This record gives sequence, structure tokens and C-alpha cells, in this order.
Amino acid sequence: MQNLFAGFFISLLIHLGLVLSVSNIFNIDLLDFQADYSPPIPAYLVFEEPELISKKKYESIIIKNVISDPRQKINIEEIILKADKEILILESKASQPKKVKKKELHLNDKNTVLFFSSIIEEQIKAVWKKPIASDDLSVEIFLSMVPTGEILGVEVTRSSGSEAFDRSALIAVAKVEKFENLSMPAKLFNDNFRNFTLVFKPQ
Amino acid sequence: MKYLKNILLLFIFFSSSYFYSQLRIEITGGAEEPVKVAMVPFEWRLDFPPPAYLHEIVKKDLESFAEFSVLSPEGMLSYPTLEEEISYRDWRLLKVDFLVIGAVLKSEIEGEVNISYSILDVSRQKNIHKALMMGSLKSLNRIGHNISDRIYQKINGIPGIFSTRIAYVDKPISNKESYDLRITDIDGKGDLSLFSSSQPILSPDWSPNGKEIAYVSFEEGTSRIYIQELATGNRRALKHEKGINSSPSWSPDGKFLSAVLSKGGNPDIYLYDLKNNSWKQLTDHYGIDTEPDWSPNGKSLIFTSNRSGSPQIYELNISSMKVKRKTFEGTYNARARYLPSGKKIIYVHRKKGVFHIALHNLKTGKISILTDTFLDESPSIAPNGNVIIYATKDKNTDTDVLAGVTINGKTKFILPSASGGAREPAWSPILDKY
Amino acid sequence: MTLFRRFLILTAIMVGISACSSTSIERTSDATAVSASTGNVYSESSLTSSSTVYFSYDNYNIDSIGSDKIKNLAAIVKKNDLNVRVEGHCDERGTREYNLALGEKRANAIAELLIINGVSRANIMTVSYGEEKPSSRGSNEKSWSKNRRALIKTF
Repeated sequence: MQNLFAGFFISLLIHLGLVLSVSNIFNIDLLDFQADYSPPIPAYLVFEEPELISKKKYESIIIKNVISDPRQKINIEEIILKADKEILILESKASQPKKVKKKELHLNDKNTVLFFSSIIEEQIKAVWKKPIASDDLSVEIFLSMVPTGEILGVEVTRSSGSEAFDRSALIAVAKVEKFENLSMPAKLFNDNFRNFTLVFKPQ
Repeated sequence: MKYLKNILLLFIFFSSSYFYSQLRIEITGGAEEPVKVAMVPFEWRLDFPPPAYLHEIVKKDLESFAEFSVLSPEGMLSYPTLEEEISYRDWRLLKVDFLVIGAVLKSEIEGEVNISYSILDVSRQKNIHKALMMGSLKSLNRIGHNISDRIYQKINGIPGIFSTRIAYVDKPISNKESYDLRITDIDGKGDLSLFSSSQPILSPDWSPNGKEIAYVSFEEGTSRIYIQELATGNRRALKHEKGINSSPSWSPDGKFLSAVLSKGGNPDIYLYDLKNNSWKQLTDHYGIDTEPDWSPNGKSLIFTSNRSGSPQIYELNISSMKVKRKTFEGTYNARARYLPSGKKIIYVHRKKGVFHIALHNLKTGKISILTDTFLDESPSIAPNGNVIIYATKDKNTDTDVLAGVTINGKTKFILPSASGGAREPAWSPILDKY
Repeated sequence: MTLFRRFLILTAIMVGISACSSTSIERTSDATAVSASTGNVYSESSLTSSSTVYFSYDNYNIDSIGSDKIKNLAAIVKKNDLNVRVEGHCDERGTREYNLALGEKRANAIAELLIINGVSRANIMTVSYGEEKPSSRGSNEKSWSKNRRALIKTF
């Protein structure tokens, strides 16, 4: 009886450890400790506090700057620089702060994930031919990927109920085969992009 | 044994943590290009030349509403007939999404053919439909339309409408005293007369099984409702009442018709029981109640009523008999029809004095105008809910024509009418079921 | 090989086995339709006269010209014990069935006025043709005004 509890307790600890490490609950900025760490891209905020811009706004700026052809080679740092510059311009136009303080904007994890999500989104959008009468339908596809962008596994985790709609999503993934321009720090990839879900939901 | 249990628990925890990833990316839209289909000319294994080419019929069907692009045989790199012969690289190069291959074979039955065909998903190199179709050699056209329907349905998830028919009333400009109830295939072929008269015919409505059509005829000097069986031409009249007998609408179970009678002093909606030939009053209002249409689930009727002062659309719940007004925009809304989903309706909507066809979401109340032609009326919806046909006027020639539009408003078309007097279209239900 | 990869391959194999496509049997029907004709068709052989009363758009009120006509007609009908058939018509604007109802309002209005002027209800029959029998072709107010009418026929 005791042995069983001990075994269970150890398993629980291991699982908790895994969960906590993946979720980065203590917000340890591992970027600082990695070999491939690059210094933050300097940018100048006009506000006193660094404001986290709304996801939608950031995305729309990135998409505007990013790609007419989603598969063409791009310089990621250049794009982020451009995007951040535009955000600054937008924000400076929005209001007139009293004090001007210079601060540095980190290429933080959240924004980077958004950025690469947009790249993935654009590449899928470019090839997805959605069926007629797809309103109100939604299918969820679970993907597993390697850092080179190659898609290893595809699985429908939540069917739309329409064989044709599900198929159109699977075809879009098959057409992409390999996502381009996804070079990012290894930890960011493992935490977010090694396995993720695509939700096909026409608006 | 206990260590085995621990290992099992560890295994579960380890594998489950691989699925822990939270990232969800939403894909809200897709490419604008239509789906590209390639149908390789079927191998013809009979000992006489083919009277028609199936791939030509299918190409014409699928390209009807600008929803597909179909590769012509001249553009193909190879011509496989069997699945083993397919080189998927050839088709990927041509950016083909779906490939259709097949053969027309002899049948043991006299005058018949067997068609073996497959639909293949080029991107994933998978067979998504394999079938053996049997039909008469005389109706090769029909076989072609059936194949188009299967391709459409496999790719879009909704039925194709290439084997359906349109019933309509024709009143030639040349002859003032001639009215003709006709049906035609979607491609305009097989246009024939069902019933001719020197007195007006209106409001054709198909039975749910596609075997009968109800319509109004003035042959006796007043409006009466008749039902005609298509295969035999046999006609029977509903028990007629004094005044107006019109606007028949078949119930989804085929047992009742809703219609309009004015025997009570003003036009109201009535229910006709086909089994015991009796009428039952459904609405009782001193105004005009007309143009009923059954909901696909058989639970309600929408109709036109001017009880608020001008024609508007109302919905009647058949079990509770409660009536609810549905339209609040504009001063003339009439002749509503449910879409197959039951969630939206189309109707005639007058905006700035001009009559258009509007699409109306019953839940949100949102309207969108689908047409920009002149004096639009009598809209009828295809059984897959994707296309609308309606009657309108060609301003240049001042003739009555039938026009159509896809439900997303993107593709419009006009059906040329030889007589110049086509009106009152009624789209059939799906006729060939598997 | 990672655990997950193994899992994927296993599912792929299972799906592969179960996805053997089967052949559907489909049958094309040969449905054609047959023409029908009717025996009796309404005709107006014993017609003695026909008068026309005009209406304004979307309206069934009778103007003074109309009511005078009807008054005079009523006298003739009473004198000769004639039967009256009132036909209501509309212009082409609006939906057909709604216009059928509107036409009936026009015919009934005329009938009521005839009755007020002494004609027996039993001698009157009303019919609506809606927009189905226009007297003038053309999509303009000139034609439309000619079509918004009621015909009073005596037999």
C-alpha cells in the first residue's frame, strides 16, 4: 500500500515539474542564459511605460509589412524593426505625453509568437480553398512540426461534421508541406510551435 | 507489479505533456482561386462512337457559377483511366486539386451503360470516391449531370444541383391568349410543356418527392388549384371554394398544402389535407394574408400580410398558431421563401421604389440585397441553398426573363427566353437520390 | 524515436487500414414528363357589354367617374335582369399573388357599389386576375395606369 502511494507521489512530482517548467511560472528569462542569445533590438518608446499593444493591432502591422508572397525569403529582424517603428509612430500620433523617456523594447516572447503565428497563418491562407457554404463550420487540426518547418503529423482533433470541410483543411496543410521563414530560438519553437493547433473557421 | 503501475502512470504523464501546447492559430479565410478539377476523358469501351462526351458535360456544369475551374483535355500531361496509371506529379504541376478518371463500359442490360469512375484528391494522393454508375445510353446527359453532382458534393459538402429542373410559366409575347407551364433541365435542355391554356397559369410548386407539381389555373374562369403528376400527365383539382384559390405550397412531408382562400371575405392562409380533401383555416385577419411557404422542418409557415398597413413578412408557428412579424425595413416585403437551412429567407423587397430580392437572416434580422435588376419577383431557391432563380424584366427588350444569382451575390446570370415571356420559376427538389 | 512519433505512426497505420474505399453503386433515373391538356376552358360567348373603371396605384377606392359609370350600369342591369361579372386587375408591380388579392379588393369594391345601386348580390360574380391579364404591355406609368382597372361585364 505504502509503495503504491510513494510511486504515485513521485510521478505526481515529475508531472508537476514538467508542467511548471513548460509554463515558465517563475518567468525566468532563459534568453539571457542561452548561447544564441542576441542583444535586444533597441527601439525608443515615447511613453513612460512599455505598453503591450493589442494582439490584433500588432498582427495587422506585421501582416502589412510581411509578405505578399508568404513563401519568399524575408529578414525577420528587419521586419520586426519596421513593425516596431510603425507602432511607435502610431502611438506617438495617438497622444501627447508630458515626459519623453527612452526605454528599450525587448523582442519579447509574446510578440514573437504572434509574429510567427501570422507567418504560419498567411502560408495556410494562401492555399486553403474553402468549400461553398462553409459559414458556421469549424475544424481543428493538430500539427506537429520540426524546426525546419516540415510538417510531420496531421490530425483532425475536432471535426466540423462536414467531410468536405475537414478535407479542405487537410489539403491546405498537405499543400504547404513545409512552412518557410520560421527560424526562431529553439526554446520558443519547442514551447509553442513543435505541436500546435490550427483552427479553420471562416469569418 | 507495483513498479509496473508506476511506469504506466509515468508513461501517461509523459505522453500527455506532449499535447500540452496551448498555441492555437485561427485561419479565418482562404485563397480566392476556385477549386481546380481535371476530368480525364473517360475511356469509351463500346463498339460505336460516343453520342456525347461526359467530360464536356461535367466541365460546363461545374463552371456554371464560377465556383470551379476545369482543365481542358488539351492541357493535360497524361490521360490515366485506372488509379494505378496516375502520376500525381503531372497533376500537381498543373495545380489540379481534384482528378476524375473513369471508363464507360458495356452493360448486360440492353440500351444501358455502366460507368466506373473515381474522384481523387491530388494533394494527398487519395481516392475520395469510387463508384459504378448505371444508366440508359439515351440519357448520357443525365449521367453527366449526376457525375457533376457527385463531384460537387464531395468537394463542397452540399448537394450539386445539376440534375435538378426548373418549372416555369411561359406567356409568349406573340400570343396574348396563351399560357404554358413548362419544365427544363438546368442546362436548358429538355424544355417541354406540361400544361397549356388560354387562361392564366401561376404559382407552380413542386411536391417534396419531385413527382408532382401544384399550380393555379384560371381555366374554369376563376382561380383554382390543380396538382399534376409529371410522369403521367394526370391532373386533379383541389376542392375549390368561392373566391380566390391560389398560392399552393407543399408541406415537407407531402401530406398537406398551404394555400390562400378568400371565401371568408378576405384572403387568408388555409391548410389542405390531401388525404380527406378538406380545408382548415390558419389565419383570420381582415387584411390580405397570402404567399405561404413551409419551413424545411415543417413547424412553421412564413407568409405575406398587410395587417400592419403594407405588405410585410410574418411567421406562423403551426402548433401554437402564434404569428410574429419578421420584416421591419421598407414598406413592401412579400413572397418569402425559406432557405433549406431554415435559418434565412429570401423575399421581394422594395427599396426606393425598385423591387429587388433580399436575403434575410431570421436570427439577426440582417438583410442583404442580392439583385440589381428591374422589377424582380418570384424568387425560388435551389435545393442546396446556394443559388436563386427569379423573374425579372429585360429593360432593353422589355421582355420577361428568368435570372439567377448565387447566394453570396457574386455570380449572376440570365437565362435567355425564346418566347420573351418566362416568369414564375420554381426550382425542383433534388431528383436523383442515392 | 520519440514517443509521440511512435504514436503518430501507429495511428497512421490504423487509419490506413480502415480507409479502404468501397465502391458506391449509383443509378441514374430516366424521369421524363408528360404533357396534359384540359377539356373545358372558360369562354365568354354570351357577353353583352364590358365597362372599365380605373384605379390609382395600390388602391381600390372608386373615383367619381367610376361611381357614375357604375350607377348607370346598375340601372341597365336591373332593367334587363342581367348577370354581372366583375374582374379586378392590377399593374405588374409587386408580387403576383399579392396582386391577385389586391385585384379582388377592386372587384369587391365595384360589386358593393353595384349592390348599393340596387343590383341583387345573386346576380354578381367577382374574379381577380391580379396582374395576369394586362391590357397594355410596357413597363411605364402610361401602361400601368391602363392596367389598374376593373372590368364590369354583363351577360
